[in-house]
Amino acid sequence: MFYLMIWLILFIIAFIVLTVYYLIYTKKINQCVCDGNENGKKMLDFPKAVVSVTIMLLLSICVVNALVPTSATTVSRNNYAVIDTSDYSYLAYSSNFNLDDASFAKLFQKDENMEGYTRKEIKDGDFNFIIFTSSTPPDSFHPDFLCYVTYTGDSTKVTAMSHNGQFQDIHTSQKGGTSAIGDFKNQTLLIIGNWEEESLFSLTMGVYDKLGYENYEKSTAPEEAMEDFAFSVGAVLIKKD
Amino acid sequence: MRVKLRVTHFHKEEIIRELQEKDIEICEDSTLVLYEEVAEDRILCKKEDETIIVPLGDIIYIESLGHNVFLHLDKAQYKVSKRLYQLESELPENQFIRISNSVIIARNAIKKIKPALSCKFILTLKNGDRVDVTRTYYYKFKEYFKI
Repeated sequence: MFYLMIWLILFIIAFIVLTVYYLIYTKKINQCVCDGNENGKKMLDFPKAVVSVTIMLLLSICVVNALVPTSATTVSRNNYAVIDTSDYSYLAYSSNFNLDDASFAKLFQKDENMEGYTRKEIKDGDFNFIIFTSSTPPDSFHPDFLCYVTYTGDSTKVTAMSHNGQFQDIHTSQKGGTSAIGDFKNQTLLIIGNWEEESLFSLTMGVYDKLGYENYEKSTAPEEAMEDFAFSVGAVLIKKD
Repeated sequence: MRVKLRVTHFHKEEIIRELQEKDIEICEDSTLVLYEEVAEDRILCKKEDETIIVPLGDIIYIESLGHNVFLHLDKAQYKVSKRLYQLESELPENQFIRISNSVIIARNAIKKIKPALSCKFILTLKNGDRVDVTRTYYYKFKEYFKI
């Protein structure tokens, strides 16, 4: 927004300069031609002045653009992926991940403490959440949080499982994220992600029997309400310590 | 013998009488033309059937429209039998300048000049008419007026 203002100001300045130059140029040539006052000093043609100012304006815009910080610092860090730990494949993602290969996640182990992370175990309903949150400053190599989710309830009647991950700004409570429902394999899921400085992450899991899944498919309910059709739901709020 | 007359009214009757005495017929279809010589600072023009001599100083601009060339004065307009390029070569350069393929203006006839974005000037003349200095004549015009 700040840089848009600068561009707007540059355009306004160029417009004012050209307008003033036009008035001065017109007055001078009228004095020369109509009144016969020749003072020997020639001004630049108005069309040439327009071209010159346009070139200077474009150069100024290029300079301003060169000073704009790279887009990497303006892109939101809020993103996460859901990985099936049985085969280390992606089930879902919310931003740029290497979609072909989630094998890097093998580096992480849910049953052990990890250096640079705080480990926590939470049980909610039929779901176990093992949460790791980073205790070091964010960098490009380590995720800000990891969450292993395991369904511990009766899996015989489960047809599908859903996840709903939402980032929430702690000041504005503004939310944003994704949700998905897919086949149930009774596998442990790994949710791995990064967040903005002022965000927390809420994760809601649900399991569906055949009827519940069919009812959801037939309904016009939004994805945020899919857990209404689940027979078991578990949720956790992941935030920085 | 048949003759076409191009003389002012000052001498017309006398000339007609003398020609008739000599059995010379006056006819507009004739290819022989009797012109009255005019001073260098004047142009012979025509308005309807009347031939008029116009001083150069009264001319605001000369405009060519199709096959006709018109002289524009402050409050009048006359037809000239010459082509524009002929007038351009005959008129004094320090008093007249050609500004487009169809217009010659008098130097002192410009009331206001406005530059346009595309190498043109828009001139408002003393009789209120507006004419354009086209791109072809733009730099010649600038050099003429030293602007």
